[in-house]
Amino acid sequence: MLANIKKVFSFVILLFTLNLCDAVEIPERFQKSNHTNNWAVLVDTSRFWFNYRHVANALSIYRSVKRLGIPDSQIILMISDDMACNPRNPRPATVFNNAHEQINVYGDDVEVDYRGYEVSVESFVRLLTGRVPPDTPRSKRLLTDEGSNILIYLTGHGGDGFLKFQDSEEITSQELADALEQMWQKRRYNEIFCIIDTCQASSMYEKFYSPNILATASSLVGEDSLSHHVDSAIGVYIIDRYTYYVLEFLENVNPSSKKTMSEFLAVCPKKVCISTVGVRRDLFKRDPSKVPITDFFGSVRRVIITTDPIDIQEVPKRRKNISLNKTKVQEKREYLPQFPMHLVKTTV
Amino acid sequence: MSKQDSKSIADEANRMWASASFVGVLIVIGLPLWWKTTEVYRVALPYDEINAFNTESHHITTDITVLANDELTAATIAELLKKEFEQYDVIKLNIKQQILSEDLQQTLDAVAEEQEALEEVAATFDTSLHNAFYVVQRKQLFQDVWVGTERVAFFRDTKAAPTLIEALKSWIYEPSVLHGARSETADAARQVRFPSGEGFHVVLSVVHPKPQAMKVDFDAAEAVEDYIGSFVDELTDLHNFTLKSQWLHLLEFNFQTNEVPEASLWGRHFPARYERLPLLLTRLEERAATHVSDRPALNLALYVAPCDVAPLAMYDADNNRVMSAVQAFMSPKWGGVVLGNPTKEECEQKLYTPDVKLIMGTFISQLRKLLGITDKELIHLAHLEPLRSVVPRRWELDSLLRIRTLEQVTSAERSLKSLAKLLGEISNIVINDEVGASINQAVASIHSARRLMTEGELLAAHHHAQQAFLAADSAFMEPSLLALLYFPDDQKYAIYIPLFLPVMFPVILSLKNLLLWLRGKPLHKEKTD
Amino acid sequence: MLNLRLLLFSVAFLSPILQIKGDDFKEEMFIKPLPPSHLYVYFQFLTLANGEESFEHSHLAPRSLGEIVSRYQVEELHLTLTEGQWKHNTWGYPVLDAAPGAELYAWFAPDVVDVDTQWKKLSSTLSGLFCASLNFIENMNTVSPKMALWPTGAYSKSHQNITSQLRYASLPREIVCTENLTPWKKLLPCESSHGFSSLLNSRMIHNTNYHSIGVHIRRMCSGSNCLDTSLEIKQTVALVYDFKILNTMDWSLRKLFGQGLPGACPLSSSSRIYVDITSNSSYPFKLLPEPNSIMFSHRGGSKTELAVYEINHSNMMNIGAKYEMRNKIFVNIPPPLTFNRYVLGYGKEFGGIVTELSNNYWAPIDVVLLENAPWWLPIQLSTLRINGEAESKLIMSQYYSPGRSRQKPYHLELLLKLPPKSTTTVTIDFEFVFLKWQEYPPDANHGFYVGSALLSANLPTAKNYTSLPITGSTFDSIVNASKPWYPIVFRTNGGMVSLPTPDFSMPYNVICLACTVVALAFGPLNNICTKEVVLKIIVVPVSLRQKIFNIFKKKKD
Repeated sequence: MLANIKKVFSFVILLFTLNLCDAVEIPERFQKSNHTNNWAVLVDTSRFWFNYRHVANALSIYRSVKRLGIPDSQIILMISDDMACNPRNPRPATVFNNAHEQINVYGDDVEVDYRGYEVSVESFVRLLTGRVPPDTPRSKRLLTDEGSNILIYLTGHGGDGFLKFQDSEEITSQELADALEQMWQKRRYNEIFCIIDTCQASSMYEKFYSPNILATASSLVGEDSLSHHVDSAIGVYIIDRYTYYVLEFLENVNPSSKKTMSEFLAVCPKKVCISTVGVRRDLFKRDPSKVPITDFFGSVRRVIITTDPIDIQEVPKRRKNISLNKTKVQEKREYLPQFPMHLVKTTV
Repeated sequence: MSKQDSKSIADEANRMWASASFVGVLIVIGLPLWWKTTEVYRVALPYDEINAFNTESHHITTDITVLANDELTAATIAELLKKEFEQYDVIKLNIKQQILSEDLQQTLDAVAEEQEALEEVAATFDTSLHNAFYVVQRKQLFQDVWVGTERVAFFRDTKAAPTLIEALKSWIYEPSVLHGARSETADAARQVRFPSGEGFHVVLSVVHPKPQAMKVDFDAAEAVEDYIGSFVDELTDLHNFTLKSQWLHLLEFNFQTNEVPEASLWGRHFPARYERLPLLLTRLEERAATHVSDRPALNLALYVAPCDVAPLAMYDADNNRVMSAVQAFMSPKWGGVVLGNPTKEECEQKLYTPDVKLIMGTFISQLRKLLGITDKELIHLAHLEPLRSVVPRRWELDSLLRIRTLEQVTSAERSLKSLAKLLGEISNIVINDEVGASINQAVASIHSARRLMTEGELLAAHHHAQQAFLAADSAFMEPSLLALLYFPDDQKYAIYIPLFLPVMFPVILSLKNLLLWLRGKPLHKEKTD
Repeated sequence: MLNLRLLLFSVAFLSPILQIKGDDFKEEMFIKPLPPSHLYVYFQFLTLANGEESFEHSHLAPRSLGEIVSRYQVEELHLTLTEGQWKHNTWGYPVLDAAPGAELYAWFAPDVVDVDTQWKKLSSTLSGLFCASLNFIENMNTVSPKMALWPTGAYSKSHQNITSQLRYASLPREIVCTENLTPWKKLLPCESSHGFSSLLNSRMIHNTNYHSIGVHIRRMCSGSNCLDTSLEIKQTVALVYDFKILNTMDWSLRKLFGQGLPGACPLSSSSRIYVDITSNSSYPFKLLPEPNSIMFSHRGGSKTELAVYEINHSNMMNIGAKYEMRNKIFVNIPPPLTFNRYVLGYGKEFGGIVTELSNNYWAPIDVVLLENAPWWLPIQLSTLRINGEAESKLIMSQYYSPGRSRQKPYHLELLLKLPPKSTTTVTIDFEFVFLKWQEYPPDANHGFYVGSALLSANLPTAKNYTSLPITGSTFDSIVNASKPWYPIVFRTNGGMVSLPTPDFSMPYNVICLACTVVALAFGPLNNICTKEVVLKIIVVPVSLRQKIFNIFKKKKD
């Protein structure tokens, strides 16, 4: 009897203290991030019509990332082959990721930065390390700084320790790790989230050694990543399993979502994906269960309200440069003949 | 028998010479030749100097002259200054004291306006030198301290000393910001301003969502040239600026807003919520076409609100309405936006004439922050004369020069350090002459910048610091430094070993026989079949 | 005092007018049925910007293009991205012809010294702006045509040597899709929300037999004495629809573009649709709604009838045609000049390119044929034959620049006088070249594209000719624009060759084979040089039985 009373009493005390804890402590649900902008590098590395699904993968992630706010100027999209305007495509200028053909992931406002033969191991590593050829336009450069969170998505065919580019060359996991280390040396990122959707994909992240990288892969070493379903109207597999379930997850995410990265990392259990999703989190300082998904998939842009305009008393006038005033001798211009008649010999 | 013996000895000698020649060609000549030809071309770099850089030890020396009516005041002020600024290692004050001459004292007491007083001081002392500051006593001051646009601060007497120190610390010298410019992690000020660079493009975009409903009378080209042009002309020592303007018609943005009635001329306002503002920037970027230029672009946008959502009122993060004459916001490292609201009459007449002075004043204020001129907080009993023109204050320019110099020198040092580490780690990257030249130039510029910073020559120090920064960046981003293009060591061995090992095998083994023969021992090798 | 007041007043009065005067934007559409089963639609968006020195401040003209033109000192620029081949013999002549893939040519200002560097920078910047791989344009696929291309803009008389400032390159492998259309549309003042550009729905316009988008920048004379110039930026779209894909001959804007026209662009000063109803006599159709006016044009002996619709800002319109039944068989009358080009040869050693030019007109036509063969397809000038003859009287002028491996392409230009009613065959041989292992594209077995040849013709007749005269910019300048000659630049079809492609797994095999061969060759060599095999008598121990046998043998001896 006494024992029972003691049990009940301790139980009540426990409840009380638990309630007190809840009332006193305000749990910090999310760990604060100190990034100031978001970038995305989405790469599809396969060529040829039967690899339609890889293009659909990359474009689907592109659509989600754009929908969640990352502007085109901060997305580098690399597509190795043209599927949308391919003569074999029965629906021109469209790429679908679902047999029901509901969403055209190619869309009306897509901007592909690297396409066709430009997508190669060399250009990918140059893009990451910043050592691009001197005439490269700004839209093809990765202009990140120390406050950038970068989402890197690679899809294609891969193997143990390498990823195939365009069916003719490979990038090894050591090269990718070295490229990321060079980015860290120049402080070109704050945090990186790397998603790899290929066969034996986890071998690609095993060699990473730079801090602040969280990586996930669609299959472990020794396993193959499988594709999801065929669209019989188009005739090829149109999406991979891992990306299909990732998209299902991302469709329910909006810019003010409270979902966390750990939910994302658990998105494709073995029974639907058939391959095991691998995660590398030892290089990542924060706890993924406290990191909001919009840290990588959404876009943060700080806004500061201006309330102190300068009160200009008199209108300034810029002193014009003297050189601009040089009087250009106006030359009379004329339209030239459009055919070299002066070379036509008149027949005698 | 002996003939056969001698013949066999001669034959043996021939064979030994043949074997020796194989050894000579393959091992003595071939091996070093192969090693030399597959060697990676690397220019010698000053690794020791690069490793000796200490980014935390940079400081700038600056001159400050205390001008007071008597010895005691001058000494007290100078002493207090010295004590206060001793704790900051990033800036070193070179304090001079001087007594004001009698007539100057009288003139300062006589004049009523601070501006005239400034002119009197400027007539006697040279206030146009960069990196010099004058602290002058003037008994007729209302407040404790008065600071204007020139490099002069007035103070009343010794009792005003704490306020003076405070003003010098948080307005003129800003050692915390300088410290942040030198540090590795970005502080708040560094997160707002654009990173150092050689030049910027300033693009003014006038966004006009409904040109068919209303005409806008605004000469963007002239406004940008006159107002912004006069501002950036003052900053030519720091960066090159190119000014551009464009009109973006039919660019609509849905603020997702509903009418809120209120008691005002319009009778209503439309809230522009804080969460929607960054999305406006994304929409603007789609058409601003700033990626065509080769330099970073500072975007200034004037968004003309259509009459059916006018007037737009911004709400801040706490959902309070921003009650200000101009509705504007800015985004760090991007630019600024001003929402132009037409009045009711202008909507009826279908002609909107924006208040050019107010709008350009807002843009200039945003530009100042984006380029590194920080906001000045209010200090009790100190008066900071508000700006009345686009030209920045002289001492703000000095402060900017200091910040940029420190930033560029430390950034160059860090780039060189990480580049040296990288080149040391990955041994098969080719270091060609251009990279070597850039690195050497960067190192030389860093040394001269350090020296000039310590001496107090601010303009020259900034020039050298910029050179160092650009050289270091170009060395780090050199396209030829791609390790991918060259054989890593293990691949080199993997190709040459199967080719040469079977060849070397008998040659090395024959070395033993060669040595034995040279020593004179007979050799036989029995082989039974 | 009064004068001053008057001056101030006039300045104050004129300045708002001056502010309003700025750029001018016009949009036009031209629809022409191509019997029996195709429809040609041509869009033209014209922006005229005042001729300032630099284009830092723009109003309607796209600032990015102005910036590119002033930064690289470009006088004239033509860029087209095309998918499909224009069939000249059945469809007549287009307003602007374009080669399949990407084609870029530009004239640089006379004071530019290093044209090649500026050319490379220009192509790289345009590749970023239009999301196309124009950065593959380098010196090894650029030519400087001497006779085939001439600037359509106004040049000052003192400019000598215009052809040295010209660069032309074409990339036949480029594909054109929505990612090129999107940035192209962003250059228009109305973007794609209003006006004719809202019709450019990518799913509909890429479902065509031929689609081509282009940007053409040139300087036009402003004023009669042509001392001032203004910059004309023309953005064009050319489409050829197939009635079999549309499943009907009754075309309408809704069927072609997926939506009706939502009114004109508010910023355009003129928005017009022209429909060519000349074929109404043989293939009668009725236009709905009725056009605003009908224009008749006599040009060079051929008559054209155009129905004109003036579109204003507010009305939604859907223009369509209803065809009446007809029982006629279509007989195609080919245009005055047709051509065909194909690749000859079999095997992987030699081949040839044949260009057939047919002059169907009763008078001789002068043409310039530009053959631009890449460096890996060396064409031999000694094998040039016109109609089978090596030395032909038809050649009036010839320019040949041999290529250099990996540095320059082969450039051949011929000025020919095609005799009337005849077909001229121009044949030239080439040989195949082995490329280095890393120069093969990832899909090397697809084949290598040989670009189109340029054919610049001076036509004496305007039959099937729809191009604008160079002095005009809007489409109505073709009305009654008879001239003695009608110059036009055609692009022939391209070709494809299959270069000898190695097995790309060879490097590993080669290493193994080479190592084995070297080892096998070196071993015996070393042995012969350094070892001598000496035979030695071996004493074999004899058995007891043999010993006894030997004793008996000895005794016998």
